[in-house]
Amino acid sequence: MRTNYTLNSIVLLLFIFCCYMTTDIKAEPSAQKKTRTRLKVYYEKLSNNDKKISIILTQGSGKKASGVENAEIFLTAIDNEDQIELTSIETDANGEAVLIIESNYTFSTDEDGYTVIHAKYNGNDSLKSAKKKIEFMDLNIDISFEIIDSVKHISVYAFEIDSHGNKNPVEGVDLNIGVERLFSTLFLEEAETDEEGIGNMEFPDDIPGDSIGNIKVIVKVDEHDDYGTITKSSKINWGTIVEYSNASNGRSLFGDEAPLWMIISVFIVLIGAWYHFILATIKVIKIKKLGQKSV
Amino acid sequence: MNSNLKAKELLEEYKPFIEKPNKLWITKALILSAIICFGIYVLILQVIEGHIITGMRDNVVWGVYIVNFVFVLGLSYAGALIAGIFHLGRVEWAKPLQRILKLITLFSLIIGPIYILLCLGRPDRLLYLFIHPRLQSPIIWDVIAIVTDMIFCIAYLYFTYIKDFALLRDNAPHLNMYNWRKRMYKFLALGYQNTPEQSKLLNQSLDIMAAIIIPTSIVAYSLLAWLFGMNLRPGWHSSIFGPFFVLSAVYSGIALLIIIMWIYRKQYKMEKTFTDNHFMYLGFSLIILSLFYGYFSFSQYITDWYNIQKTTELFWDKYLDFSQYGIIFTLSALFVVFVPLIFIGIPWFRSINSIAAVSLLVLVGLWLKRYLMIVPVLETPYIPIQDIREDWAHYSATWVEWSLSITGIALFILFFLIFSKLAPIVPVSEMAEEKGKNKLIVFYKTKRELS
Repeated sequence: MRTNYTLNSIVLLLFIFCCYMTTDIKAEPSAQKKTRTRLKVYYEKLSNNDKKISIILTQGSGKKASGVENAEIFLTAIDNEDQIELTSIETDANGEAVLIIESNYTFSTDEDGYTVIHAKYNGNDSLKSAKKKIEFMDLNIDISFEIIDSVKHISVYAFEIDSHGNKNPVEGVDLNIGVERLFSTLFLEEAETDEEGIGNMEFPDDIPGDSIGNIKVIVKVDEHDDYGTITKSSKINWGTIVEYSNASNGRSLFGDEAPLWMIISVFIVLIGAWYHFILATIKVIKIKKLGQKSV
Repeated sequence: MNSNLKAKELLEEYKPFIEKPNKLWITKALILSAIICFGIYVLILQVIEGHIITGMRDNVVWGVYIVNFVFVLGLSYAGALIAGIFHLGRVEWAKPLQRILKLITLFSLIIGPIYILLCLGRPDRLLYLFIHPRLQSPIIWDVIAIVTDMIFCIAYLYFTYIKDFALLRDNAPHLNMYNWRKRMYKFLALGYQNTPEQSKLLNQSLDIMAAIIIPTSIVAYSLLAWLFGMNLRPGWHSSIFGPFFVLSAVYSGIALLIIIMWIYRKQYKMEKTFTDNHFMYLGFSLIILSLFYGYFSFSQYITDWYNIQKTTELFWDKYLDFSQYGIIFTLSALFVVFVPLIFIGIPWFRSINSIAAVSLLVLVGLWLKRYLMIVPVLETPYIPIQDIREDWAHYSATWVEWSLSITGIALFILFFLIFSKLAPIVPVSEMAEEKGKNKLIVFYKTKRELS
C-alpha cells in the first residue's frame, strides 16, 4: 500500500473547480478597445391605441452579439425642424427597453405626415455610441362584424385622420386576421384594403370559443413601411361553445381517476411490506416478554 | 471463545468511542453546530424573503436543492440495500460495515427530504399533499415510499442495536459515561439476555427486515426516478431511469462507505476493523459499478441522441458546449466512469488513499450527473420562451443554496459524531458471533416440509 498525497490534492482541487463551474461567472468586458454597438428601434400601435417604441441595444456582431444592460437611451422627436427631448429609458438585462406612449399624446408630424423619432446611446468607456431614427404615420383600424345570409363576415376599415379630423381611407394595406389562442394568435386569412380602405373576411363556424362562445378577433398589420406594426382586437361571440369541465381533476384517493390495477398493485406492495414489518416487530416484542420472564 | 466474552473484549477495544466526550469531540460538535446554526439563519432568511434569494425562478424551478435531494436519497437507499444484501448473504467480512451502512441510510433519509422542503415556495401548502393525495401522481408515490422506507429503516437500525445495547447495559458499570445513558441502554435493550429463544427471535426479525428493506429501497428509489421519467419532457422521459437511479445509488453508497471507513481508519487508527481487504473488495466493486454505469449512461445517451428531437437537440448542444455544461458533462463522465478504472484498476495507482480519493471523485461525479439531469433540462422547455430575463432562462445557484447544501453535510457529520458516541460504530455483538451460527431463516416452509 502506498500513500498518494499528490492525488489527494488533485482531488480536492477538482472538487473546488466543480463547485466553481456550476456557478456562472460573467467575464468583465475589456477596457482596452471600445466595442461597436448597434441600436434597433421598432414602432407598434397597440390594440388600445397606445404607441409602443421598442429599442434593442446590442454590442458585438454576428453570433457574439449580446444585449447591453443598464444603458441609457435618449429619445427625441422632430417638431418643425426642432428636436424635442421626449424622455430617456434604460435597457434591461437583454439590452431591451420599451416606451409606451398613451393614446391621448399627439406627436407632431412633418409636411408629409410622418412622425420622426431619434434614439441615441452615448456610449461609455468600453462601448461606442449609436443612434437610430424611425419614421411612421398614424393608421387607425376599425373592426366590424356582420352576418349576411347566415354567413359571418369581418370587415376591417383602415383610415388616417387628417388635421381637420376627417377619416381618409387607406388603400393597399395588408391585413392579417386571426383569433387569439392560449399561447399565440391563430391567423386565419390575409386581406388587403380596397380603395374604400376596407378589407373583408368570411369567418369560419368551427373556431372554439369560451363557455359562452366569446372569441377575440385580432387584426394585425405587420411592419408596414409607413405605418409600422398595428394590432387591433375586438370580441364577438362567434366561437363554438366549449364547456371546460374539471371533473377529471378530482383529487381523491378512492376516486374513479386512478386505474384499478394501480390501486390494487399499490395496496398489495404496501400490505405485503407492512405485514412483514409487523411480523418482525412482534418478534422483537416477544424478546422483551422473554426478558421480563428471565428476570 | 465464548461469543459473550469476545463481545466484551471488542467492547473494551471500542471503549474510547462511547465513553464521555473529550475536548476534540466537543470542538468538532461545536463547529458543526455553528455551521448548522448559520444554516438555520439562512433558512429563516429564505422563508422570509422567498425564493427570490435563490437561483430558482419561474422557468428553472428546481436547482441545487433537488439535486441534493435526489443524491442524498440515493445514498440512503443504497445504505439499506447494501446492508440488507450483506446481512442476508451472511457476508462475514462485511460485518464491521453494517452499522455505518445503516447509519448512512437513516441520516440521509432525514436530511434528503429537508432539501425537497426547501424547494417549496409555499411550504404552508405542504399539508395539501396529505389531505388531497392523488394516487396517479408520482409525487404521492414518492411520499408513501419515503415515509415507509424511513419507518422500516429506523426499525431495522434499532433491531440491529438491541444486542449492543444489552452488551452496553451489562458492562455499563465499567464504562465512564453518564447515568442517563446507562438507563437509556437498559430501556432500549428490551431485556435482551442473549438466551437461545431471544437470539433466535431477534435474528428472525433482522432477517425479515433485511428481506423487506431490499425491495423497499429498490422500489422507493425507482419511484423517485419515475417522478422524472413519467414526464414527457425530453431528457427525463426514459424507461432506463428506474434501474439507472438504483445503480447510481448503490455506486454512491459504496463510495460514501469507503470515505467514512477511511476517515475512521485514519482518525481512530482502526486498521484492524477496516482492513486493507475491505478497501480492496469495495474498490473492486467500484470498478464493476463504473463499468455498469458507463454502459447505462451510453445506453441512455445513445437512444436519446439517435432520434434527436428539436428540444432534445437544444439541451444536447448545452451538454457538448464547453462554454455551457460541456466541462461538467466531461468531468462527470471522467470521475464516474474512467477514474475508478484507472486509479483502482491499474495496480500501480492502487492504494487505500487512492481508493478513498476515487470514491470522493465518484461522489462528485454522481452529484454533477444529477445536476446535469435536472438544470439543463429545465433550462430547455418544450414551449420556446422569449423576452424573459436572463436569470429566468439560466439557473445559477446563489450563496443561500450553497450554504444550505453545506449545512446538510454538517448535519450528516454531526449525526455520525453523536451516534458513534451512543454505541460503537461497528456492531460489536454481531462481530463476536461465531461464523455460520445464524442460519438464514426460511420465511415459509416448503410443501415437502409441511407434509
